[in-house]
Amino acid sequence: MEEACDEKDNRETTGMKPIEKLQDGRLLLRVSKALYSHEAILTTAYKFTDNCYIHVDSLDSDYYGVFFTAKEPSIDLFSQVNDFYNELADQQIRYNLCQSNRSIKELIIKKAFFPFQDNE
Amino acid sequence: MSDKNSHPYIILPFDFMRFSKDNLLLVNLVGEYLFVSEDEFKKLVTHDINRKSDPLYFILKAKHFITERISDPAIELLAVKYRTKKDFLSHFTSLHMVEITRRCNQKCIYCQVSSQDPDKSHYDMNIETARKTVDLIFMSPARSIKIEFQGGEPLLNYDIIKYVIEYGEKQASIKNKGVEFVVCTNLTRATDDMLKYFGDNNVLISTSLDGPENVHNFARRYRDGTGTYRDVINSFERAKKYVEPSKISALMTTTRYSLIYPDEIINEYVKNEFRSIFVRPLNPFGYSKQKIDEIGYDSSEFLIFYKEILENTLKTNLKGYFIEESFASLLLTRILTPFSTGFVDLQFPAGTGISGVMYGYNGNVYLSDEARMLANMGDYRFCLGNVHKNSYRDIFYSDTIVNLIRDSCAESLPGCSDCAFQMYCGIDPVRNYATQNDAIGYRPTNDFCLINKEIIRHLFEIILKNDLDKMDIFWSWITGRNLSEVRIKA
Repeated sequence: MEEACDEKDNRETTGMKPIEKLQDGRLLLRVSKALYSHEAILTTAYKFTDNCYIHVDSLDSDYYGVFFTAKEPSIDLFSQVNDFYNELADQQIRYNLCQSNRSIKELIIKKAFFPFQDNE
Repeated sequence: MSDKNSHPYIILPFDFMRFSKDNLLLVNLVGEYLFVSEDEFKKLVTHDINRKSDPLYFILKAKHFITERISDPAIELLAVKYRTKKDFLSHFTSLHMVEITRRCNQKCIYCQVSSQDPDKSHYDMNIETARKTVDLIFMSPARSIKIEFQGGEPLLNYDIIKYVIEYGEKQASIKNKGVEFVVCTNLTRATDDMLKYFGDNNVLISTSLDGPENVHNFARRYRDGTGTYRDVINSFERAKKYVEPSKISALMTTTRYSLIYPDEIINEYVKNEFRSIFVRPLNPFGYSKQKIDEIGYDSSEFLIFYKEILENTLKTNLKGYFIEESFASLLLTRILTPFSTGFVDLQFPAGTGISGVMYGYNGNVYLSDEARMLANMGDYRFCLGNVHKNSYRDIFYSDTIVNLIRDSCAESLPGCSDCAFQMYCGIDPVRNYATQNDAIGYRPTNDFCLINKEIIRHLFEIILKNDLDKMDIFWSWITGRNLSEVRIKA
């Protein structure tokens, strides 16, 4: 069902093509489960839903698949997918930071709104 | 992680955005910001900053982006700053807008209020409704209350304005609260007696001036279609005899016709000795397609206009005349100071109901002015009750308010939860519902979001360039002082 994408820039040394053009015109972006959380993928996807229809699925134990369909013929789908990849990296950093300092954030807000609790 | 530290630092909560080719903007939990390079950002998030020799370490620590230990005073300090930033939450509910009448002697091109003819007095608030409204207002726990008279044209029901002021003053005294009154009027029906009364009773006047005569009259007309400019200016001149000029302010609403007059609009405000201008886009709902074609524009057109008018305002200040653009001033206070600036239309959680509330002429209580407009179009989902039928608890502890507040915290909103500007911005769920049929809203096509984000970004561009003249003007706006007073003397 899938045909190879001729975008050389998207080939990885492993031979795995992270971006593939499917016969039905959609682009498939393979996203490593080891590197990216589904939260980061969904947050990123939200930002692209104005220009694209996006479907996220689990391909196998190692990869999520993000399927892109342009909402308008004028939309450069490859450009959208590459932008998605950049944004995904930022969203994953946000997610990692959020996970690592969640308890500090909760502590700060707790202290902010219950300033006298510790003294009682 | 490389061995740059004897023990690793702790990264405090912050968000970031790619601001320009060379800079990322970091904003922490309390709105403190820092521009860093890509390389610096990479070192920060990989815990790779040399804590002994890299100046970035000390800058990040001083700006509360990192700390050495969880018991560090920085945590306590951030908690205090967070409480200060969110202090507006403790003023539940401070702004009370009262529709004194739905009648209006004008029929402005962008009016959404379904204003009624001046002779239809059954659209006036009566004395019993006014009394019950004031009683409800003073049940609010806020220490300081602001009552804003709206319409229609509120001066058409002047006796009820006087009643609310006098009864409100009594209630404020009994409840030991502060109270302030603002009359939002087109001024065309203001008599000298009314103006003197407002001056004697410290009532603030908020009027509308869209620009020079041609721009103002394009939108703001009497019901017979003639422009109101000359009568507004005449009344404004009379008002200055009775009311301190600092207590008279004006708002401008931007129509398609305004877009080509940014210079002339500022000049008009200066000519009339205003010290502030609030440049507002149209409230974009409730219009027919035909009307949108006539007076509307897209967000990018408004942003070009806004930036031009902001630039002209800055130039005017540089020439020695103090005039602030109120929206920029609000945002700059949020960006550059630790102070709380609640603003009903722009805060997290939403200000609807908890910071501001609207009372209709018939006693209906609405979440906001926009909620009243929706009700005028037959949609009462944001009507909280009625002063004649419902208690304070029924209205202000209603599921409508509780659910809306729960759903309007930045942390729970898609597109806001990961936005670096969230400490400066806000949400208006009623507007989201009206424009996108969903109170949570859809950020990628939300004009409110697009406009606010771009204005905040534009202000940060000016801050990043650190033009001393512009920064001095910003500080003069924030502190309310003339430019000469805030300049560092050589």
